[in-house]
Amino acid sequence: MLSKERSKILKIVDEVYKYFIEHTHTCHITSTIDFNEAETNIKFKVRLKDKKEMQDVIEHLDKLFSVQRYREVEELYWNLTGDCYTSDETNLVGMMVDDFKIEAEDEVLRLYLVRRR
Amino acid sequence: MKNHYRLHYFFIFIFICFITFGFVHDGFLNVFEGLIKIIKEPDILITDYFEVGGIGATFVNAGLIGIINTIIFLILKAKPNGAIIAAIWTSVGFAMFGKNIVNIWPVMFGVWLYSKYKKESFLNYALIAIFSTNLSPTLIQFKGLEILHPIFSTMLGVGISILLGFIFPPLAAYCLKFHQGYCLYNTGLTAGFIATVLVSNVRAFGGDIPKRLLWYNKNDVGVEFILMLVFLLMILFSLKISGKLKIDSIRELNKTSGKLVTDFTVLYGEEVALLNMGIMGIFYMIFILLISNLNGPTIGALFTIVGFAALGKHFNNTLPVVFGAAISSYLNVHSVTSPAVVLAMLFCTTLAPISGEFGVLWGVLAGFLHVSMSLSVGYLHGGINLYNNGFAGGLVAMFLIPLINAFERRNA
Repeated sequence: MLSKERSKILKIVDEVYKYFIEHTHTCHITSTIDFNEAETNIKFKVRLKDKKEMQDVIEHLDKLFSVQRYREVEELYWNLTGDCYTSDETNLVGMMVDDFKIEAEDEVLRLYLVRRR
Repeated sequence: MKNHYRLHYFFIFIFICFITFGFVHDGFLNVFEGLIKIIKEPDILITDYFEVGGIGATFVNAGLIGIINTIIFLILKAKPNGAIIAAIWTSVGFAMFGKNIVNIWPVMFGVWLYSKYKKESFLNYALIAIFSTNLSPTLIQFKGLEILHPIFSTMLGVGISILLGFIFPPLAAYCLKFHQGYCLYNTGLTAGFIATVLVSNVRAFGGDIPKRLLWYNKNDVGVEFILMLVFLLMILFSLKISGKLKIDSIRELNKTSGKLVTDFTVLYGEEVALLNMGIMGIFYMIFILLISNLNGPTIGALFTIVGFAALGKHFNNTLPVVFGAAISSYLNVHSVTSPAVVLAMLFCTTLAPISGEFGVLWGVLAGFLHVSMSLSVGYLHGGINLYNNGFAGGLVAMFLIPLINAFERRNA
């Protein structure tokens, strides 16, 4: 059985995928997960052809992820992320990660998430 | 420089006002005697502390519970956010009819033990610990088992309360899946399940939970004054933080669904959340005065609305649900002014996200169904789950959300 920590990581990845599928018209997404005892690094590489859409996504994600990590909120509500497809829980992802970075170059958006234990 | 904990300090100031009001209202001796009564009496639904210990003792109890909860978050260095504000104010509200300075500890200790068992910081579980105290009446209820020696029955009550706290965190996290965040009082659903399992076993082995209804029927000018003062202070403090009343942000806030976790402190800033709390407090206080009176349980419901006005509740998403509950209350066989119906009309706002996300009609239907559900589920847990309406609301959401998804889902 997956540990709670790894379940949370999977749900974060699932939620971010859900965000791009819901908020963009066409996109190509790949992701890598790198985890160890101390922290987990999640990277998303997203190809977006529409520049306006790219700008909107960057601004929206920047606002949602600029929240600090709320461990007490996470413990109660983390089950909402991921497998609920009726609504958007991306703001909860912001409360579950310690750091984030968004880079954009041409049609490629890179999103880096860091979650410490 | 911004003080990240200023809302905590502001709330402590308000809770000190409650304590001061309590002593001024009833005098030191009466408050002391009232507190003893509040601690000794059973606390199952509906036990109005105004009736048990008097108005003064109730406000002192609520003020102390508020200070204890806020200090726990300060010690853990947890900055105020929507969920923390909701937890603090819900607890203060229920300190008017069920939680007291003695019975909250065993359940919270159980949650603390769970955090040690999982080798995690108690900070992770602090929010759950505060919410879990809705099972506090379990402590005194098991003291009432007459066949046991008082010392043994007290130890049994404490032991069971600790056990309930210990199993609370995993169940609270899991219960969210049932309603997907559309019932704001998720911990009420959790506690409802736990209490139902417990009470069904008590009944299976010959025991039972006695029924109880203590309801204060009068209005008190002093109470109206202190509550209005508190809500106005919230609006004034919001004004002090931002330099102006951010009405535009309130308009934006009213467009959100309110589904968990819509944290207004994060999305719009703590000053906007506080402004929303003050406005909602004044509005629903007037609503209570129109349909009933201000007593322990109705003030409890009011403070819960005010707390969750930082985590999802606003005018637009609460009004349809309350309207639906009002229709049900007028049409069903129960009296509109009966305590359970009055409370259902206020606590139905737990389903506000349904109207916020899916529209007014679904919201009205949710409120309508909530009243009937809340009047029926109390038997299951015997009244030891203080958040009876959270339990009922969770069940309504579990029933409605799949149907809404089936009929409202847009084409791919």
